[in-house]
This record gives sequence, structure tokens and C-alpha cells, in this order.
Amino acid sequence: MLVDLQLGHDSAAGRRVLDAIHHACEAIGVAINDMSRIVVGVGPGGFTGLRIGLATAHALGQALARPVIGVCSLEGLAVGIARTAVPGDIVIPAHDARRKELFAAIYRVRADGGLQELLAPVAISGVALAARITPDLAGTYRVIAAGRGACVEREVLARARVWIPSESSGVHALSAGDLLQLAGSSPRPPDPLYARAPDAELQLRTPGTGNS
Amino acid sequence: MIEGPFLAIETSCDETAAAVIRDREILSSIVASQADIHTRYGGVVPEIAARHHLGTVNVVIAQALDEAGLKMSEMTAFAVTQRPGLIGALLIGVSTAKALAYVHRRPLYCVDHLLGHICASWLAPTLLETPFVSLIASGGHTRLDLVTDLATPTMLGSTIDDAAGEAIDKGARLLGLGYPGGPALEALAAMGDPKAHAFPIGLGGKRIRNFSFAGVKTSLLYVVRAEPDMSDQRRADIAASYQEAIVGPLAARVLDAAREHRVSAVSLGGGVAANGRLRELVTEGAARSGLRVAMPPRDLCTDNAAMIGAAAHFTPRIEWPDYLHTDAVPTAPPGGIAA
Ligand SMILES: Nc1ncnc2c1ncn2[C@@H]1O[C@H](COP(=O)(O)OP(=O)(O)OP(=O)(O)O)[C@@H](O)[C@H]1O
Ligand SMILES: [Mg+2]
Repeated sequence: MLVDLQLGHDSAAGRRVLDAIHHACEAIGVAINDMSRIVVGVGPGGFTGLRIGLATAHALGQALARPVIGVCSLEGLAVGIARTAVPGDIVIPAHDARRKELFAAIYRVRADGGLQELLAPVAISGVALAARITPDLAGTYRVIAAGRGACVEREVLARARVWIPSESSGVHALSAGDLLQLAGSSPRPPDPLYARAPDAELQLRTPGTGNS
Repeated sequence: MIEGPFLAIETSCDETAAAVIRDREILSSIVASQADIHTRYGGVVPEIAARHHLGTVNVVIAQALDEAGLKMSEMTAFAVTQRPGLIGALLIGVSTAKALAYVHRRPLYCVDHLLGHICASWLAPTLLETPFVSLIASGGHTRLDLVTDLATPTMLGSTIDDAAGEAIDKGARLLGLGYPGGPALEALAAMGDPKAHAFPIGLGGKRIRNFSFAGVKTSLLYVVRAEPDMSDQRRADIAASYQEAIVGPLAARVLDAAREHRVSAVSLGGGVAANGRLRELVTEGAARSGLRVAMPPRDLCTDNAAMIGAAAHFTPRIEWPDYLHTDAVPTAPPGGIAA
């Protein structure tokens, strides 16, 4: 990997993404036109930031006439966690989904170091996630969770004997390099993985709370 | 003026649109409407609108280029609606336009949606020249402008509460019609008598350039409550009277303003300008006063990207790559239109 710029976590971070792409290109002395493909994290994550990333990636792909490859952002985080794990361990990447929920998924580290998906990305409360971590899921292996969501729900998860590395550890941040790796091993269509329906749709589904 | 063909993108509300414009000519204009999707919610749901723009905008752009018979690399510039609108929806267009312009090293024009509505009548086939008085009546806005320079329209008045289209949609809902209510209300009103019921006219009086539609809407609510078992004819009469109470002041005030400012033409824009009764009232009144009426075709009155291209000609140009930080803005600036 030649360059990795992190934009931070504030809600406006997504809006700086094209600027960051420009600076990344300048830093290594290439033009955007030299890119052979665009790899984009499809979430789950904050809806607005997610869409800015995807809209930017789609437009770059369209303007350059190059392929756009989607990768799951949680799986990207899991790749980083798995580097600290051994085959058989359970890894749980978790973003903060607000509203007292996490965007989380559960993977087992395979013998070849790859990831086996046990729970596809969902929006889930910390308590409900902890309830998924049954003794026979982990057996004698470790369960490692990371990401800002895991840090938020540290207490609840720790009670389920989940290990969450210290907050200063680099494992909580998604690296562009890990996303690039997934583009080869686990590509997806470049469509958003929202993992949560819009409020209006939820209200429509729940009788009695529809918009009046 | 922008030299050569350029691409314009509009995603401020529930239409995903792209157009290729050269000078005052529309080489292509594609609009993908989400209206059917939002019908079941009774109005535009911002999160759902944003989700659909993301899936659609690149397809619409490809179609616009294809129909114009031009390649993206032949675009001399890119234009996009920057404000006002639903932030999540605007961001799809802005992020897309920025990235396209960036790759092609072209300038970007960040356009005000309302200036777009005003400039629709400047495009072919209408080809209106300044000065004129413009009436914009849409789902979110209702305003009168004196336009001596398309870059800087002067607002003469605007609604102090609901937009005309909003009042029409809410009225249509009270009468049991679906969303968007405009065409359905117009169809029902065509079978009724506009004098059957006297609805209050908001902000009546001479020299009034502002509008108010909250009162007429409340008044309709009372009628509907008082007469739960309306006959079909009564419903059509109420629809016709309600429509008249909304489009009547629109027509009267745009014509008054034109006479006061001694311009020889008025233009209509925004979705409500598609209303046949409004067009009729303005046309008749204008004929009596010797005014020219510029009414863009209906598909240029509702949201579209061609009008954004028209407004781009009168919008400051941002050179490559100075727009990397440029952001969508949900609100209108003080005075209503960003120049
Ligand atoms: N035939 C008609 N008669 C009356 N109103 C109509 C007619 N056709 C459309 N409308 C109204 O026009 C409005 C939509 O116009 P438009 O698409 O310009 O608005 P918008 O884009 O939602 O709002 P804005 O432009 O202010 O952001 C709706 O309120 C609709 O009911
Ligand atoms: Mg509009």
C-alpha cells in the first residue's frame, strides 16, 4: 500500500473524501486517471457518510470507465482484528450505530487465516449481541471485539467474556489496506449495506404508528 | 455563458435528473421520478429519497449523455443543484458532480435550485429575455421575483407560511386524493364550480406581493369535517373552489407586479405552473394587459436538470480543483437565492 489517509470520525468526515483522494494522489505523484479500479466500503455505517463514499466511488468509476468494487466495512475491520487472533478465534467488528445499537457481525478465523461469517452485518443492541456469544460458539477459543461500537458497549460485552483491546490500540480503526485486501478475497457489488430500514418504513410496518 | 456542451445534475428532492445543455438548447433531459415510491408514505421521505438517488443518478447521467450523443469527456463543465433541498438527497448530486468534474479536470457550477426554476423560461423553446416578473410556485416555494439580470433576481414577495404546492397537496389529501395531489386535484376541480364555496383569500388587498395559504387549508379542513358525506359533485365543487383560492392570488399578483414594474413579460415556473387553471388565469389577464406570458413546457416546470443547466450560465464558476471542499447546503440564503 502506498498511502492511507484517515479522515476522522466526525459527521462531516465523509464530505472531505474527494479532497482526501486528491491529496492521496498528490502525495504519491499519480493522477486519478492512473487508477485501475475503485474499491469502496459499502458499510454498514452512518447513512450519510456511506452514501457520500458510494456516490463518489460510483462517479469516479463512471468518469474513469473503471470497475467499482464493494467491500463490507465490518469485514474490513474484522481482517484487522483477525491479525491479532489465531485460527478458531471469534472476531466481532462493531461500529457505533447510535440509538443504543451497534452495526456488528461475527466471524470465525479459519485455518488459512480467512474469515467465516457466522452473523451477517446487522444493527443490534449490545445486550442482544452479547446474548449471541454462547459458550458453544467460542468453545475454548477467544472472542475478540473491536471498533468504536465495541468500545461503547465494553461493559456489556466483557460480561459475555469478550475481549476488547485497549482503546489506544490501532485495531479499532478500519484501514484502507484491509479493505483493499478484501477486494480480492471477498468482493461485493458496490451497493450500500444499510442494515437498518428507514424510520418511515419501520413505522409503516408497525400498525398504529403510521404517519397520521 | 458556458462554452460548449455541459452536464447538469439535479437531486434536491424526489427527482433524479441529468441533462446536457449547450447555450440555450437542451440536448437531452432525463428525469427519474420517485413519486410512486413516496405515495405510500403520503409525502417525500428524505432517507428513502436519498437511497433512491444513489441507485439512480449514474444511470440517468449515462442516459443523458447517450441521448445527447456525446461522451462524458466532451463535457466542458459540470453543474449541480447545491441548495436548497433535502440534505441527504443534495449530497448525492453534489458528490457525484464533484467527482465527475474532478476526473475530467473541468470547472463546476454549484446552482441554486430556485434560480433553476426561474431560468427554465430562458431556455429553448421559451427563450424569454429579461426583464420579466417570475412566479415560482412549487412544492417547497412560492415567490415573485423581478428579473432584470438572471444572475441576481430581486425577490418581490414570497409565501409567509405554506408553499402553494404544499397547500395543494394537503388539500388533495383532505379530499381523499393521493400524493402528489396537484394533477388529481386539478382533474377533480375540472368537474366542479369554482364559485361554489367562498374560501378566504390569504393576504388579500392591493399591492400585496406575499402569499399565505395556511388559512385556506384550515378552512378546507373545516368544510371536510362539517360534511363527512359529501356527494361527488360537492367534492368536485369544493376542489374547484379550493384550487381557485390558491391559483387566483398567484395569477393576480404576478400580473400586478409586472404592471407595477413596467415589464412586458411574466414567466411561470415550479410544479404548480403545470396547473391548467393557473395558466388560463394568467394567460387571460396578460392578454388584457398586453403582457407576454412565458410558460415553459410542463416537464420544465417540475424538477429537472435542464433548468439547473440554464441557471449554471448565471452562476459563478469554480475552477478545478477548487471545489473539493464544496458541500451541499439544505437551506436557502438570506434573500432566497444564492448568486
Ligand atoms: N397540475 C397541477 N396542478 C397543481 N399543482 C400541481 C400540478 N402538478 C404538480 N403540482 C404540484 O407541484 C408541486 C411539485 O412541484 P415541484 O416538483 O416543482 O416542487 P418540489 O421540487 O417538490 O419543491 P421545490 O422546487 O420547492 O424544492 C407539488 O406540490 C404538486 O402537487
Ligand atoms: Mg422544484
